[in-house]
Parts: sequence; structure tokens; C-alpha cells
Amino acid sequence: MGEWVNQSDEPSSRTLPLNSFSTPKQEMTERRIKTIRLLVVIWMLAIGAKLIYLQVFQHGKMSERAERQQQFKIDLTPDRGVIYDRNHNALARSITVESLYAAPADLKNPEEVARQLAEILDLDREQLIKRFQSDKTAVAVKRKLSEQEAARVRELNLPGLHFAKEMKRVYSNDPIAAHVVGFVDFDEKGQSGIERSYEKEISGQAGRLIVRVDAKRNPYDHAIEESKPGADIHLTINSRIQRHVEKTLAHAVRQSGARAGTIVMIRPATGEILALANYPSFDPNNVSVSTDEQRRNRAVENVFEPGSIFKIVTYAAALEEGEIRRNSPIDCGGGVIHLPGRVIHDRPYGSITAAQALIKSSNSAAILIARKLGKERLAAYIEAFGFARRTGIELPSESRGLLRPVSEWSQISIGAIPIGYEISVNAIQATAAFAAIANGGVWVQPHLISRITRGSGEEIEVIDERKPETRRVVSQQTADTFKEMLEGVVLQGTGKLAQLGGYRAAGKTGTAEKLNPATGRYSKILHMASFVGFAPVENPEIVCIVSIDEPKGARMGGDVAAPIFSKVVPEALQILGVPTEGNPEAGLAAGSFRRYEILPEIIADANPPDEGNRAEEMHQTDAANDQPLTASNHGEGVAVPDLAGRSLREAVALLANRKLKIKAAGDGIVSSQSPPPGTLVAPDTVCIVRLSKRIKTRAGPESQFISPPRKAAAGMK
Amino acid sequence: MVELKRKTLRDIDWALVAAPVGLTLFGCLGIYSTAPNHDFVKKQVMFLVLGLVVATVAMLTDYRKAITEIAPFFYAATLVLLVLVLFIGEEINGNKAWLRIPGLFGFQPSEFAKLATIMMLARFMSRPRTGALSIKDMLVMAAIVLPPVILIALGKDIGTMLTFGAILGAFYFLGGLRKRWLVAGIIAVGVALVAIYPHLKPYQRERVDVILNPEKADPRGYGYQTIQSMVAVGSGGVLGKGIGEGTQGKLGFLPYAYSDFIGAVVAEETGFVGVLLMMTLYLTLIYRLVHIAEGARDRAGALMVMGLVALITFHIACNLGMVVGLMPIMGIPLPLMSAGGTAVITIFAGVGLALSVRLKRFVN
Repeated sequence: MGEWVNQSDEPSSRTLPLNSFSTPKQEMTERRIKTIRLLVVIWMLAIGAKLIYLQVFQHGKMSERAERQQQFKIDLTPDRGVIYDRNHNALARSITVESLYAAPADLKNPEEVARQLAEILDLDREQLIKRFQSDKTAVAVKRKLSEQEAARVRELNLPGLHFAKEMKRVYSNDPIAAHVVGFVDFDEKGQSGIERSYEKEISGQAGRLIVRVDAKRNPYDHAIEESKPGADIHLTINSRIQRHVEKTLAHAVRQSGARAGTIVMIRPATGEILALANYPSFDPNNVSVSTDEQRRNRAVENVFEPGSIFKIVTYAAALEEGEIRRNSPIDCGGGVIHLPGRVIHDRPYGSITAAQALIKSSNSAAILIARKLGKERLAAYIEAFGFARRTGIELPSESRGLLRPVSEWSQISIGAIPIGYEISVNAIQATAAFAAIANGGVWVQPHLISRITRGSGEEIEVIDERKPETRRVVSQQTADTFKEMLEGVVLQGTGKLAQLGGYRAAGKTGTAEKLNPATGRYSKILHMASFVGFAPVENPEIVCIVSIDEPKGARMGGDVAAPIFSKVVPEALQILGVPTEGNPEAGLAAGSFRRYEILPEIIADANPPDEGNRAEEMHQTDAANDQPLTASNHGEGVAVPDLAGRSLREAVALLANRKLKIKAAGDGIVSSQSPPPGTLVAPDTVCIVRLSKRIKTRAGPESQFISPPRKAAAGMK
Repeated sequence: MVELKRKTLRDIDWALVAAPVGLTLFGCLGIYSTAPNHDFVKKQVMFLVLGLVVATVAMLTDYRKAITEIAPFFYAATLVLLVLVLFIGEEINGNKAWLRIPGLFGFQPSEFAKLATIMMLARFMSRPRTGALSIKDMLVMAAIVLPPVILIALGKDIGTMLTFGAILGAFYFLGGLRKRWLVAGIIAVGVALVAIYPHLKPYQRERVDVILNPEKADPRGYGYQTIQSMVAVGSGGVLGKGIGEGTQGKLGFLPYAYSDFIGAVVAEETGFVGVLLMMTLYLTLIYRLVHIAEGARDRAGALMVMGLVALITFHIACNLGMVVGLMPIMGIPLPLMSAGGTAVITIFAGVGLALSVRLKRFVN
């Protein structure tokens, strides 16, 4: 554009009166126009960059912000579902209650209001006054008032107080099945039991009311995200049976001075749990005053070493595998079983049938049978009966129970597991295993929920119907045979106190020594006394476990648990409308139960069966007394007793009983010995003991047994 | 007056006509979305037609005649109107800037004053002279700008005052401001900006603070408008929410959505794509004007067109800067797009004059 430059000297270019337009543009103007153009571009690029930042990178954030300021959201909380028992009685339901709020700014005389409210609502006045000094628009005074409280506050008719509706969970006044139903926290969230494990279903899905507003907060539109009402849970629990079971259990636990107790009742054909009770228990309406111990659902969360009740797995497996038959002779010999490095002591039953061995709860027989089966087959049946894995019961925190894999079994495991040690189970697992026998050999998954529904009347919608898992564990024939054998236990063996007037019952007792957590050893005084059984034998309607934790006084399953079984089961059968069958004991007298007769020599034993059984279990429990018996009855090898903590006199007596000699050094009580306790030695072997005054170990009964081999042997009952 | 001949029609820079028409119509979409009633759109379209008539008349007027003969009367007339505004003007949004013709419509004399001032400055620059601006030149130019600025200042319209400053600055710069004055001026403006900050009123300071740190600003305070504008722009995203679907604008979160924040409405409803189209139209307008200035046969014509460029550019820069949160709120509308008939007519008049400069580029 050079043609425009510096033409100022050409007067001819003037066409207007004024000389003004003789001034062409200057080069500098040209340059500066370009500068301005550049600045425009730079500015536009800056705007463009900010636009990209806002519209691309901040788009999400800004959209959210726009949406947030353009709407209110109000949560719509749906009603919590009802928990029903099997007969549609509500065990847990929600009601509307009122919560009290105050608008501090509207209170006329906060101190006076605080005084009045503190009195009516049982609150701290000073705290209320402090809360009323808040600059918030509203403060909570008390949530979930009782009807009387709300009425009294209303009567005051004070400005600045507001009520808001809230839901509150209520359980029956005389609550039952607390451990099954569970409870909710202050915000209506399930904290235990079905309330917790089915929280999602019961609570439903909260909806929302979305109100769209303009800049002046005027609503102009709204949308509702519908809430989904909570689902109703229908339990298999029979409240009448449950209540009776709970009462009986509470009474029994208190009477026996036990620490706790559990009863579970299952309908074997369906796996439905009719009753599940623990004592101690709690009131779900008033959870805050309960302890952890009371809230703990022992039936599901606790595991225990089952002891003799576990023998059913050993026997059922051996029957199914053809290793024994009901009348197979088993040579229990002198009551001593040799395992590598261990000796198991038992009563010297000699040669008896398998059925008799079960009736007597012979440890030796069970171990001998298990040896025939071998580790792998035993483990397979343990698993098939549902042990060492969760049953899948619809409650939170089910314990799986412990069983080491076969590869990790020690050499004495085959002597421990068949009689219910080195394995832990929960009460549900044990009950279900018995139910498999009662049910003709088919294991049915135990369960608490029959169905989950939503809505009512015509609109009812079934969300979930429970179809329990089933599997055959043993054949019908094996189950039938074994049922008869288990009936023998109740008729003639350790379970006599479980006999029911009017119904034939079968079952198995168990008395397991508990590991003393303080010493890490099996305790001589802490027991888990159990009885698991079913009735009626021909067509079982109920399988029931009773387990009593640490009873005082009588400790045997047959003495403590079996009588409770005999109290709760007939009542439950009556409630279920199962007709009575006449007196089974009468039947025995008439010879109709001859099949279960035990061998004459056992009957001829000086002790009647129940006492003999008691003696058997006693001698297993009190090791100090059992050793002379086995030593004198058996000539081949003698186990060296544990002498630790004994005085020289006691040591001499113990060794003399076993025809062993002694060589002692030192003064005081035995501090070490050679050979170590449990070692098998020939008679007349000399044992060397060292005495010392420093060790004082005879503090209590458990501490008598210090050396590890004794501990393990004593643990096997 | 030149006859509207076939040659004239061929010589018209049609892009320069299409861009402002397109921008005005684009603005109508935003006004349609956010204005309280449809009268705003109708009025805007009416003023667009009126603007085109004014532009045609201006185009067919010899710009030299316009500068030398018409400008002083135009300038004097606008000053009278500005004085009238002070007495019988209407106050809208705190600015006393409107004159209402009973039964017809209101208009803003200050918009006309901008064009009149540009023409008067171009008139001064048309004197035969060479070299850099003398101090006397600069004082005379300032004297031309000062009367309307004072009158507008009395009406408390800060944005418009700043526009006059920008126009004067552009004329100084292009008219041959000495480099040392230029440097001194830039420094003076910089120092003034920093020095004035502590003396700003709290609400003004808040408007600045929100630009520097939008996260920390009180969203309910004086940063509200800037934040809401950024939310509108950001939530529009790349493709926008759709015309008539801009919630920020429609629900009243955007302040003055159909006037000062029409850019935010466009950004919200048509997204980055729409803003890009809008900015392309503005750049077309500016580039065609600059092109005419570069091709003008004399300095007066070139400077008059560049004065118009300065006016339009300053408005766009400040307004869009405000919309995207790069500049504080100053009350400067977006030319052609913001609802407001006087501004539309003024710009079209300017465009008409620029076309006149183009048509006369080879004519003596």
C-alpha cells in the first residue's frame, strides 16, 4: 500500500472545500493498525483459551454447579419392611414417632424452655441451654419421643418448638428371637441379625423429590424419583416354639450355673429353622443396656469342639462305606489306643458291637472305626455333612469352623477328629448334620427365611423364595440303620435323659472339654455339654441341638443338655400337631426294640447303664483316677504318668500303680522327669525324677498337667 | 450523494454487511431465550432494519462531507441530548442513560456520542499535518472527548466513559503518538490500575478479586455475576444445551442475560461451537473494517474507520472478558448482540460510513 504513503504535497487531491483530506495516511499509521490487529488477535486467543478451559475442562464441574443451584433435593425415606414369623406375626415393624427440634431464635425464654423440656424429656438442662444458644436455624432437642412425651411437650404450646416425623423400629414388648431378628441403630440401620444381613431389602430404596428452582428459589418444576418400599421378610421361626425354647433355655442355664446356652431346632425335611435361641439374650427395644455377650448370636458366631456328638460323622461314614455294620464287633480291648507317640485311654469294654459302642460313646471304638475309614474318607464325609464351611444361614458373621486339610493332620489327628476334637463347628452345622441323618441321608441347607415379599394384599410381590440347597450324604438305608442306633443312645445309653414321653427320640450326647484360654490346655472343669437329637424317630419333624456352655455341677451332655431336649422337643411337636406314639420305654419292655439290645455282659456290669456311662465319662475327665485302671488292665506297655508338681510320695504311688520304679533326686515337688509323660515303657522301667522347691504349679486342677503330651492325650474324649 | 449504481453494489463489501447482520440475528436468539417477553426480539429486529437503512444512507454519503460538515452538528446534537438525559433521562440498572420518546422507544444518546466523537476526532486528524502528535494536538483531542465523558460521568455510566478513553487512546496511537508518550502512557495506565485498587469501594474490589481467584470469592457477593456467568459458559460445554434450553440464563441466575451477559447465554445454549461462530463473525467485522482503513485514500477516513474498530473491539474485548471471567464487571454490552437499539443503529451507521470510505477509495 505504498501508493498511499507521503503524498501530502499534492494539492490536486483536494476535492472538498476544506484542505483536510490532503493528509494521507502515514507509514506509522499503517504499522500501528497492524499492531492493533495483532492485539485483537491476542485478546481473542486469550478469550478462546479461557472458553476452552471453561467449556471443555471445567464443563463437568460447572454443569454440576449449575444443576446444584437449580434444584432442591428432598430425600423420601420409604417404610422399613416388616419381619414376620412363619405364622405372619410381626416380630419387627416400624412406626412413626416424633422428634423435637427447636428454633433458638424463636424461643421466648430459652432458659425457662430448657427447664421445662429437661423435666419432661429427662434431659440435661445445662446442655439444652447451651444448645439453645446456637446460631443455627434449628437444633435437635430429642429424637423419637414417646407418645406421652410428645403430648406433654405439645401441651406447653411454646413458640419455637417443632416436631418432625421419623420412623422408629419396634419389636414386641416381650421380645423373642432377638438374635435372629437383630436390631437397628438410632438411624434405623440394621446392626445385627436379619435386620443387618437383609438391610438392603428391608430398608428399600430411598426416593427423592427434586424441586427445580430459579435464581430466586421459586420452584417451577419438580420430579420424583420414586422410593421403593422396604421388603417384608418372612421367617421360618415358629414364635410359639421359639418362646417356649427361650424360656426353657433361660431357666436351664440359670439353674445349671452355666455361662451360656444355645438351642436350635430345624425341620429336617425342609431345613427350616423353627427356633433359634441363645441365653444370655437382650431386648432389641433397649439395646443400649445390653452387653456384647448378650447380643452375641452364639448359635452362628461361636464355634466349639463338638466332642462326642461328632461321632455321628464317623459312624455314618463307616456304615455308608461298609466298614462296619450295626452289629459288627469292635474290639475296644482294654481301653487303650496306641497312636504314634500318644495313648488314648478309655473304658475297657472289650469286644462290643458298633451299636453298643455308640450307645456307650466309646472313644476307642470311634477311633478304631475312623482308622478303618482312613483320613481321606473321613475328611470327605466331614465335608459332606457340611462342616468346616458356612451353612449360608441368613445371619451375619457366621463362623465357618475349623478343620485342617488332610495334608496337615498330625499323627494323632485320626485319634482326635473322629471323637470331635481338632475340629470346631457351629451349632447350626451340627444340627444340620443330624438333620441329614433324620432326613434319610439328605443334607438340607438350614435357613431362616421362607420368602421375601413387597406390598400387601392383591399387590403382593414375591421377591425371593428360598430354595435351600440339598445333597445326599449317605444312603437312605444307612440313615435308617443309623437312626435306630441313635435311638439306642437315648433308650439305653448316654442320652437316656433325652427320652420324651409320647415320642420316640434319637440323638447323641457330647461332653467336650474346652480349651482354657488362659493355659492353652484342655480344661478339666470347663465343658461344652451338648445333646443333638431328633423326634419322632420314624418320621422326624424336629432336629434339635441343646448346648450348654460351662455348666457347673453336672457337666455331662447326657446330664445337662439331654433333659433340656426332653423339655423343649415334645412341646414343639405338640405345637406342630405331631401325634404322640405311645411310650417307647414300654415298647422296649415288650421286646419290640430288641434290635437295640446290648450284650449281656455289659448289662451284667455292676453299674446300671446311665451310671456306667457317667463313670466312663468321669474317668475320661479325671485323668488322675483313670491311670491306675488302664495300667492294671494292660500288660504290654505302660504310659509314664505326668509327675510334674507332685510330691515325692504322690509320684511314688502313681508309678507303683503302673508297676514302674522310681529314682528321685532333690527336695520338694517334681520339676522334671525322664522318660517324659506319655512315653510307652515296659513294666519295671526306672523313672528318674528331679524335685525342686521353686516350682509351685498345683494352683488349680488344670495346672496338674504341664507336659505337652499329656495335654494332647487328655484332650481326646 | 453518490448514486446507487450497479458499480456501487458490486463495490460493497458484502462480508462487512453480512457479519453485523448475522451477529444481530445471533443475538436475537439469546434475547429470545432470556428476555421477559418477545417485544425485545421484535424491537431488536426492527432496529436491525432501521440500522440497515441508516447504514445505506451513510454509505451513500461522502464520508469526507460527513466528517467535515455533518460531524460538528451531530456532535453538538448528542451533547444536547446528553444534557437532556441528566434532567429527563431514565435510570435503568443504576445508569441514567436513556431518553424516552413518548409513545415510541427509549434510546441512549451516549451511543450516538461515541460515533460523533469518533467523527470529530477524525475531523481533527484530517488537517494537513505530518509527523508525530504535538502536546497541543493531544490536548485538543482530549478536549473533543471530554464534554461527552463529563456528561456521561454525571450519569454514572463507567463502562461508557472507559469506551471514550479507549477511542481517544486509539486516535492518539494511530494519529502518531510519540513512542516516549506511548511508553509513558502504558506505564501510567499500569501504575494507575495498581494504585487505584486499594482505593476501590469494597464491592468494586470484590469484582476484581473474583477474577483473580474465583474459588475463594463469596458466591453470594459481588462476584456472583462473574461466577454465574462462568457457570453458564462452563455448563454449556462444547455443543451447548440447545437454543432456549439455557437454564442459567432462563432461570435468572445470569444477571442481565439479554443485555450485558448475552455472550454467556450464547455460550450456554450453543456451546463452544456457537461462541466460535460468534467470534468468527466479530473477527470478520473487525478485519473487514481494518482492511478498509488500510485501503482508505486518506488519513481521516482511515482513522475514522479505525476509531470504529477501536469502539467495537473495546466492547467485545471487555464484554467477552467479563463473560469468561477474565475481566471485572464493567457494564459494557456486546455490540450488536446485546439488546439495545441505539447501539445497533450506531454500529450500522459506522459500518455505513466505513463502506463509504471503501467506495471512495479510488475517488478524488
